[in-house]
Amino acid sequence: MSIEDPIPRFAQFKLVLLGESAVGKSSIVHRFVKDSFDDLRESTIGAAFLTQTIKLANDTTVKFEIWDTAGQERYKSLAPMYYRNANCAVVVYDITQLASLERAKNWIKELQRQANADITIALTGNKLDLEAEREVSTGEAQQYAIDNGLLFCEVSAKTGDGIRDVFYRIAEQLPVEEQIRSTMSRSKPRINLNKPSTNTDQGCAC
Amino acid sequence: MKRRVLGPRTDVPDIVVPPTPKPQHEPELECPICGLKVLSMHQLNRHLDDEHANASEEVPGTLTGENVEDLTGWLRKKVVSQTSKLPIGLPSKLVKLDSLTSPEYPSLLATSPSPQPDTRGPKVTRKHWRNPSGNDFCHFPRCRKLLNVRNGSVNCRRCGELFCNEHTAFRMKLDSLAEYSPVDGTWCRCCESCFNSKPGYLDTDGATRDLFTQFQTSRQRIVDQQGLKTNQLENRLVKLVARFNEIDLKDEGRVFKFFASSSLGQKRAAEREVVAWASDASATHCHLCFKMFGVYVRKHHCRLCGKLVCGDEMTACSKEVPLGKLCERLGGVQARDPQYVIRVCLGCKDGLLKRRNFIREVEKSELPEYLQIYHDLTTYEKVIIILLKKFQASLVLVQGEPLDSTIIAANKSRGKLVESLQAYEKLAKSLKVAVPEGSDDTKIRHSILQHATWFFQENGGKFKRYWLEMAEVKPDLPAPKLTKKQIREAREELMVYREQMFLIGEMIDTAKKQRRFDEIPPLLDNLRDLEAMCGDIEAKLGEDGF
Ligand SMILES: Nc1nc2c(ncn2[C@@H]2O[C@H](COP(=O)(O)OP(=O)(O)O)[C@@H](O)[C@H]2O)c(=O)[nH]1
Ligand SMILES: [Mg+2]
Ligand SMILES: [Zn+2]
Ligand SMILES: [Zn+2]
Ligand SMILES: [Zn+2]
Ligand SMILES: [Zn+2]
Ligand SMILES: [Zn+2]
Repeated sequence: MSIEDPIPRFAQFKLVLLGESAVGKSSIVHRFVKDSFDDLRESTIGAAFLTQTIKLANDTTVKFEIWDTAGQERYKSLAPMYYRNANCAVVVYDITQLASLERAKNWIKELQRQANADITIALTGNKLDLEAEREVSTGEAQQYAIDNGLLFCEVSAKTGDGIRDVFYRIAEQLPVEEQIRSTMSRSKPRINLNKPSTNTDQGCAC
Repeated sequence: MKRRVLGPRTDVPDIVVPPTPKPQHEPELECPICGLKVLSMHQLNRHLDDEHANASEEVPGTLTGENVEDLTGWLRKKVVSQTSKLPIGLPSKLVKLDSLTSPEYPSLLATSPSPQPDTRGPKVTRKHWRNPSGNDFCHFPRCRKLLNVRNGSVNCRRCGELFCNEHTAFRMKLDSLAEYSPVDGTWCRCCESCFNSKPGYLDTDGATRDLFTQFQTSRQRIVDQQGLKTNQLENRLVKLVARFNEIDLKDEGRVFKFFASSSLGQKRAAEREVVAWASDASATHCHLCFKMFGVYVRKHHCRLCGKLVCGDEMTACSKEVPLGKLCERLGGVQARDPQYVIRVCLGCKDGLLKRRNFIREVEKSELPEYLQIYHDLTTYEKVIIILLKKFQASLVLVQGEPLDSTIIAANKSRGKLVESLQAYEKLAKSLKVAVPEGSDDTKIRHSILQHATWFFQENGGKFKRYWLEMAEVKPDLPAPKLTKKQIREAREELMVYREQMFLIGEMIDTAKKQRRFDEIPPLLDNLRDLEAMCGDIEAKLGEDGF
């Protein structure tokens, strides 16, 4: 086997969605996984599980194991179980509901206290298509994200705006190379590791 | 939170009568099998005959092949109607309407939405009102809207918190200290939780009247009548076959068979002996399809009831059936000449064979495992309810005379109760490990499980309450270690985890079916985590798990 042969480079990560009920968590996941939007989506019960893979540059495949939690009070006790060993979290609020940002901030505080220290968090404002009813200004949320070292995006699950971006930007932040290296060193001890790193700058492009 | 998803309850068809304003009206009844609303006992009976003819013959409390189908439909309906009642995603408008139209507030509907001017009744204090800060959120947990001119900013007159317009759309009567006072209070605007916190508001029991005995007596009469008719038909057929056999036997003994026609004539005569034939002039129409008799629609006599009936192939009002076939279905009798045909009308054929078919099906059908479990669960439920009553009675004795003997008795019945509750729980859990075969089954399984969980919590809770009462009288008896609130919360948590385990189990099955094998390991991991979590909570709850 020559060194030029494309070696399957594969990494997988656990992702959890958090946020108040009805901000559009499930809609975001479905847009990402199935590229569809259902106006009459039923409220999530418990936590749902989906997977999706994305291709990065340099032949790297990243697979997300996604846990979509229910925002309802009743299922509050389930959330820790899913964020505890998550590599990344998408914390969603609804740009037309100021209170939902407050709830998102609480989730972020909880994550910072209880989740993995190196968890990648993306604060995501949803329902960008309802610009006319906006209650949360972009600046306010973005400032909060910068202060807390989070990724920040505004998206619309309905139109699909910005959805892929969220997951690609998360993938860029994740320790993809480390994971590939550790799995490879376990399975194939001698392999060329001189691949360029994919880590790019952290700046927000929204 | 009210989340009662009732499982199937064929054992006790409690017929719930909603409190009607005019008691002289006929009570509204519900078919215990399919839930159809009917107005009278008579209608219910007719409906049962038309729709569930066979299910009616079974002994109440047993699940039999025939009515499993009914049960499936019934359960499916229950599942649908119950899920639509879940508070999740329930539009708040519905909630509001519901509460405004409750019989308690007829005046609200009749008049304008703001019912009475505040002039009647005392002036209600406003001291406790929260002052708007200009940056307030609706206090209703599921709303949390920013309060502004558009959304409104209204104090609940009772609790004083600030809400949006939509979430103060309730009215209740308050006294001068802003406490609920249904008799001489003033009508005031209030929030949903204050409205719901009115004493008795969340009682789900309602007025119930057990009409089962009445129903059973009335039903039994009809079942008996049908049974009698069937017996009569069977007797006639047996008699007929016996007569024919006699004739055939004689005929076989004869050396010359030239006179076969004579045996045919004898048979025709025998047919008329067994049942009196209606005179040809007595009917102008087929008694089954009501077609007028004439040249094309010939009259025939049914050999079992003697009535006049047509022989139309299309309506199959009557048919010539070989004796052998009839005997075979009936069992126990044998015709010497099985090829000989007699004309039987549809009514008699049904009357004759339905019961047989039914019994046969019941005998051969084996219940799916989860229905067997359900059956066992209902048996346990009966036992638990009886034991609970006994336990309560023994506690009354202890409270009266805290003697050693009464305490020993109470402890004994407590032991039995704990045992049954544990057995019940174990059985209910076994529903989760069994492999689902189809989506319908899964739904039924889920409903049964939810019913079992509900039953367990409800009756376990009762048990605990009695136990606490006793502990108050005899403080030296072991009391539960956790507070009531902690226990309730832990139980609620446990229920959420168990539900999630069930969901994950379903996800694993779907993943297998759709051959997405890569999803299975993370799901299994999660299932293990959940199991461990449940174990922890159960350990914490200990005996309070009931
Ligand atoms: N207009 C608009 N509505 C959305 C969008 N995303 C979700 N919704 C709606 O918001 C409601 C709640 O969505 P859902 O995904 O169930 O929220 P979840 O409870 O956070 O999972 C649904 O009625 C969706 O149709 C969006 O981007 N734009
Ligand atoms: Mg959801
Ligand atoms: Zn019915
Ligand atoms: Zn209130
Ligand atoms: Zn509100
Ligand atoms: Zn006819
Ligand atoms: Zn007949």
